[in-house]
Amino acid sequence: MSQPAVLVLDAGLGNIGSVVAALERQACTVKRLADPPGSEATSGFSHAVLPGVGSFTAGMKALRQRGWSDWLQQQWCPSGQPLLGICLGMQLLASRGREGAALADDATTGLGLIPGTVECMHPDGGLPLPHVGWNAVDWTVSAGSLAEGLPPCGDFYFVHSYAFTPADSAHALASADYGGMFTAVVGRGACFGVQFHPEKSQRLGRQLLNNFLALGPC
Amino acid sequence: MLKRRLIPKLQLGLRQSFRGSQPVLMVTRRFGQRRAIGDPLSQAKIYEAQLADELVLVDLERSAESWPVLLATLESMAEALATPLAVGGGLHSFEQIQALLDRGADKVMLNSAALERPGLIDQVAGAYGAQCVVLSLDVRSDGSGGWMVWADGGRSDSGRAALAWALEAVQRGAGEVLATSIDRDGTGEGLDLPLIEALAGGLSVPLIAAGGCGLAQHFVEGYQAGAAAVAAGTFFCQRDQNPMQCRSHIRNAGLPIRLEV
Repeated sequence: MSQPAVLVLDAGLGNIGSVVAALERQACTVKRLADPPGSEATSGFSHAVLPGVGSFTAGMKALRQRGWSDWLQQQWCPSGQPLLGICLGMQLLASRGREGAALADDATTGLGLIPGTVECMHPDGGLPLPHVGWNAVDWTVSAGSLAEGLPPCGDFYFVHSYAFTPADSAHALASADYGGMFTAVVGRGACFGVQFHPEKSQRLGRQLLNNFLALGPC
Repeated sequence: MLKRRLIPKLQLGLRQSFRGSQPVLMVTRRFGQRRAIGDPLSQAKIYEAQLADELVLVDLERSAESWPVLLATLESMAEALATPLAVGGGLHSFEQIQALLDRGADKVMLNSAALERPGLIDQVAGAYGAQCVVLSLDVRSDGSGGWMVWADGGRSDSGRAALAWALEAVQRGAGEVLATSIDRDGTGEGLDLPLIEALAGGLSVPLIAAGGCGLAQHFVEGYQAGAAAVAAGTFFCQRDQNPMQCRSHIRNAGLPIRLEV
């Protein structure tokens, strides 16, 4: 089997250098692109990664402006090729998000690749926000090959204040506890999202990226 | 469950060699006396192997000469490590912050520049999110039960009280606060616990405490006083301190901390 060819979507959503560096340490070729490739160039990639930090609304605006949302919705995802959203990139897979919206009851439309909403966390016990640090990720039995070789409650590095609630609980592949349970990993078909930062999660993060790169189209 | 964080602090000085200015790892005492310890990148790799939860990288020189060295050091660390990096020391412009984030910093630490222009916090948090902005407070006791914030690497009194300034910075978008006791820095006498209690009790964001760790028990005391994370430089740099033994000690005190991957 030839090496995976990974496309990193560089939509200007904050620091993605670390994601590129972490992928480059894996057995794959990595290319970061600021604009979507044409259909012929797209077929040269086996995996896509959508990293990002910042607010939901700003993130969707950037994806639309550069044509990435159309590319994901109409080209990449229908082809069944694996996609991994990281942090904000995971949240943008949702149908709707509230962060950065002009009015409190407004919500921004997301990519809609995994039905659900992204809302501010309200941890019990007055725990501080953002939720920063290493937290145990509890995988469901249906998490499949993305969780291959990972310990049942291994620690991954999180930094976020908003969380993704999938409409269909079958799309929640893992959860974590911060003053209440929240969804740490989502998945639907070949489309996955992780709220934590695998590129900053040392050995377990490397294992997770390795698992993602081993996935084929579905 | 969220784990408490243990954060080695890497302070950068400059050393002249035939290749020009090279970075050298330093420890300080009360923000004054400095001692060169070794190579920052190899030390950072050791820290990652020892499960450092994050790394803090500080430019002690804060000069035009040290800036490119800081950038190059950060770049080499971001390339080699899979550990979160917070970077600071004399940052004064939005452009510098962009340059650090582009080169792999996960967070930037703002201190003197934010005191001069508090709007810088709003600007960075607006562009990159609150998780990206750490307010760094270098504090000294005011002699009557409070703490004042000092600027310029501990050289000048900003005239601001620690808690009031931290609250304003959080309001403006700082996502974490790093409080360093200048009086305790490098002494190994233990953290300033009343300071930690006052800040952790008043703030809605995570607090990182630093300055004074000399024993594993000092970390335990810091967490018990309310710190989400404890950072230390000298403690990890010198003698035969074993970070894994320190972690075991913290776990044995009943606090959640990573012990193995």
